[in-house]
Amino acid sequence: MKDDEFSDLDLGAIRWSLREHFDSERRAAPPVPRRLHSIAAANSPRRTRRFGVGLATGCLAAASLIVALSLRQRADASPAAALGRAAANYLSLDDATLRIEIESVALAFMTALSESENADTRSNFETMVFFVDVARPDRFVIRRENESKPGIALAGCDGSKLWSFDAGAGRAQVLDLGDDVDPPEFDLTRWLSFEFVSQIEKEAGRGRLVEVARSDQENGAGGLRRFRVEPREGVGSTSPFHWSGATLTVDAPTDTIVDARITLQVGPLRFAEARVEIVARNSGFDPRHFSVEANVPESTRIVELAIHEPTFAAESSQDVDEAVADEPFAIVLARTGMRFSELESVLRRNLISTSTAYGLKVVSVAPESPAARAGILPGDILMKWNAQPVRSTRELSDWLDDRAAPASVPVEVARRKRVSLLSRKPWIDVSLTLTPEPRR
Amino acid sequence: MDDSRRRAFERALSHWSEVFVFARQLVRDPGLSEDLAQEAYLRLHASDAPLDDDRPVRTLLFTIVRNLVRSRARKRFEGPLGGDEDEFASDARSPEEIAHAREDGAVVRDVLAQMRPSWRAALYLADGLDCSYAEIATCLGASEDTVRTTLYRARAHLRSVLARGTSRHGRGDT
Repeated sequence: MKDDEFSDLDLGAIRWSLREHFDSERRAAPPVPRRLHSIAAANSPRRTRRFGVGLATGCLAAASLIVALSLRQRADASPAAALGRAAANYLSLDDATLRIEIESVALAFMTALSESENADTRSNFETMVFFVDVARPDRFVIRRENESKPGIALAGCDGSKLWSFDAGAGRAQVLDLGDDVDPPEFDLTRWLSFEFVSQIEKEAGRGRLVEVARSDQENGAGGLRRFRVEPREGVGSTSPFHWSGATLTVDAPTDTIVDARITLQVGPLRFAEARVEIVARNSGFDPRHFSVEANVPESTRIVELAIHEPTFAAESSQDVDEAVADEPFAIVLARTGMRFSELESVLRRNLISTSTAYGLKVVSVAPESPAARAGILPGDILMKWNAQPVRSTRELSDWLDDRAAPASVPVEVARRKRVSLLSRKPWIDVSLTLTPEPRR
Repeated sequence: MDDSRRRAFERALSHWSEVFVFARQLVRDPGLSEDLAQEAYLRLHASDAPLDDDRPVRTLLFTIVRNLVRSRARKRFEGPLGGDEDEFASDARSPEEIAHAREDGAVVRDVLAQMRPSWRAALYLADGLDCSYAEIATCLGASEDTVRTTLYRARAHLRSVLARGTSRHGRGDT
C-alpha cells in the first residue's frame, strides 16, 4: 500500500488541495480565548494544586475525621504525594467516568472502614453515600450510616474547609485547610485498595470480557470483534497482579486491522495505558485467531484490563446498531432502551449493600423507549426483573429472548432520593411495569 | 507553575489554531471544536505532564482532544437511541454530484465533510501539518500501520471523487 499507487492523479495535487483547505480552516480559527491567556499570565498553580492536593488532603482529612468520630483506627504513613498525582490522573477522564470512579472508590473506602471496625457490624452496615461535585472533586460529602450506631456521620470538604457532623453524638467540627495544611498521617491508599482491588482481582483472575472493541475494516463497515483477556499461562495463575504480559485472543479475520490498547488501573485512582503490539499472526490453520501481547512492566499492579476501540467510538448510531447487533447489551438497549454502567459489578457490590449484591445501574434511558414509558430513570438500579434478581446484562438479554416471557414484566428499581443528606433511607424501592419492544 | 512551565504553556498557545482545526476534523461543529480545544488547554494546564522537548506539546494537545472526543462519543454510544447529531452531519449528495457541481477547492471541502472523522484528522495531520506517521499514530491513538492504511484510503477516496469531477468537466482525464 504505497503512495506511488496514485498514478492517474498526482498525489502532490491531492496534498496541495488538502493543504490549501486546512490552511483556510486555520485562518478561520477563532482567536485564543482570553481565559487561556489569563491562565498563562496568572502564574498560579492554584487550580492544579487544589485539584490534586485538595482531593488528596480532603480525602485524607475526611477519612481521619470520620475515624475520629466513629472509629478507633490506627494511623499509618501517608502517601499524600502519590494520591495527589493519582487525583490529577482524573483529569484525563470524562465526567461520567470520574463520578462513577469516585463513588466506587469512596464507597469501597467506607466499606473497608466498616469492616475494620468490628466484624459484627458488617451485617448491620446499612448505607454509605458519597456526594461529589464533579466539576470540583475537592468538594465532597461522605455520609455514613450504621444501624448499630444512632444517628448519621457526615464529613465533607468544600475545597478550603473540612467539616464533620455526628448526628448521634451531636458534635460538629470545622477545620480550615488553609494553604499549608499538612495531610493527616493516614494511609488512605491501603484502605481504598482493600475492597476495590480485591473485587477487581477476582474479575481479572477470571479473564472476563471487559469491553468490546470494534475493528477498523474496509469501508468502515465496523464489524464487531470480541476480545478475550486471558492471563498468560503460568503467570496469572499465581497472582493476577503480576502479569508480565497478557495474551489477547482475537476473533478477527486476518485482513482486519486491529489496534487496541490496554488500560491498566494501577491503583484505586491511577490509570496507565499500554499499547498492544501484534506479535504473531497465524494465517495457517485458523485464520480467525492471532495473538497480541501487552508489554506490561513487571512491577505494575494490574487492577483491570480494558480494551478500547482502535480509533474512535462508533461515529453514528447506525454504526452502533450494526456493530453491536448481536451483543447482549445491544439486545437490552434495543428492546428496553436501557444501558447499564460498565462498572456495574463494582457498583453492585458497593452501592447498594452487602445483603443485596445484585442489580444493574442504569446509565441512560432512551426517550420514548419502553424503559422511559415504564418510568425508569438514569441512575436507578434495576434490582428485579419479573421477580428475579438482575445480575448481568447477558442474563437480562436471555430473559428478553425467552419466547415464554410475558409481554409486560414487573420490574423493581432502587432509586436514590435526592438532596436529603440526613435521610435514613437514601434509596427507595420503586415497582414498575415494563413492556419490552417485540422481538425483531 | 514555575517559569519554564509557564513559558511552555505560552508556547503551547501558539498552536491554538492547529488544535482548533484538529478538533474540527473530529467534530465538525465550530463551537464544539472551540470548546474542545479550550478544554484541552485547560487540562494540559491542570495536569502535571512534563512540558518539554521530549514530548511535543502539540502532540499532547492533539491527544487530549482526541480523548475528549472519544469520551463524548462513548457517552453518545451509551446515550439514547436516535439519529445522528449535527456534529457528524454529512452532505446527503453523492460524491459524483458534489464533484460535478463544484470546483476542486469546494469539492475537497465537501468530500472531507463526508469522510469519517478519523480519516479527516489523519489527512489534516499528514497533509495539513506534515506530521510524521509516528506523530499521527500518537495523536490518533492508532498504530503506524493503521495510519498508513487510513491515509491511503482517505486519499484514494478523495482522488476518486476528484477524478470523477475532472472527468465530467473534461479536464485532465485522458
